[in-house]
Amino acid sequence: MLILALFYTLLWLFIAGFEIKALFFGLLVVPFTLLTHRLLNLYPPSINPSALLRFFFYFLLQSFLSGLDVARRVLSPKLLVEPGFVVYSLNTNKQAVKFLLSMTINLTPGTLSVEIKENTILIHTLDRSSYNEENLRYMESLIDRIFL
Amino acid sequence: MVFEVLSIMLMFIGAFFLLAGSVGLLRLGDSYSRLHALTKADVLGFGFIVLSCMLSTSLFSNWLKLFLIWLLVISYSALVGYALANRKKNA
Repeated sequence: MLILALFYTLLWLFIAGFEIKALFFGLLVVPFTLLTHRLLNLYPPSINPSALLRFFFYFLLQSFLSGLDVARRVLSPKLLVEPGFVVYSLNTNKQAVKFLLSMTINLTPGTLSVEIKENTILIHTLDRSSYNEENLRYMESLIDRIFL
Repeated sequence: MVFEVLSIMLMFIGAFFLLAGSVGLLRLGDSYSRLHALTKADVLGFGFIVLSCMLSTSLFSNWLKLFLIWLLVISYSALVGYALANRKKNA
């Protein structure tokens, strides 16, 4: 809690600066953020930094590819889409992994997560024939290593 | 000089992807497919714009701020994409 308070204070000072107005709002915002942590009983999980870095670079690559993929599909005269739903079954049952994976799925080529269930994620895909499960499987294993 | 030219080029690439996102929004048939265009193409376009801004400043604190903004915007984009799709499914 103390570390979080320090972190948010530094973050606020860094973003908003040292003006009197900024300091005033900081005094409101930081306690409220801490209160939210308290009320929801949600705290940042402990992570493995090197795994996070690896995931980050893989994610950058995927995000780049998915942007190109969507741009190519919508700009082509014939609109190369064949939308449909697929179900991805999860290996993990850690809440944090499920959440981060479903967010990453949104930025992976041709997939959009629609609903997180107990141990499956419902995915909407822009092109059923190019849906690639191994890629998601690999991403899940990368994310699984981040959270200890 | 080199950085300025590079920065402007990146800005144009970013604008192209943002445009592609909007074209997708207009052309695609259903709400789910439209979210694909909004989350993916726009995030990439925004990434290029942030890179371009990074090249036009040399202050380390500005780089860090831009990185923070990028991180917040992409998380927000992914989150909103999920929230809208989920709402549509369960509506």
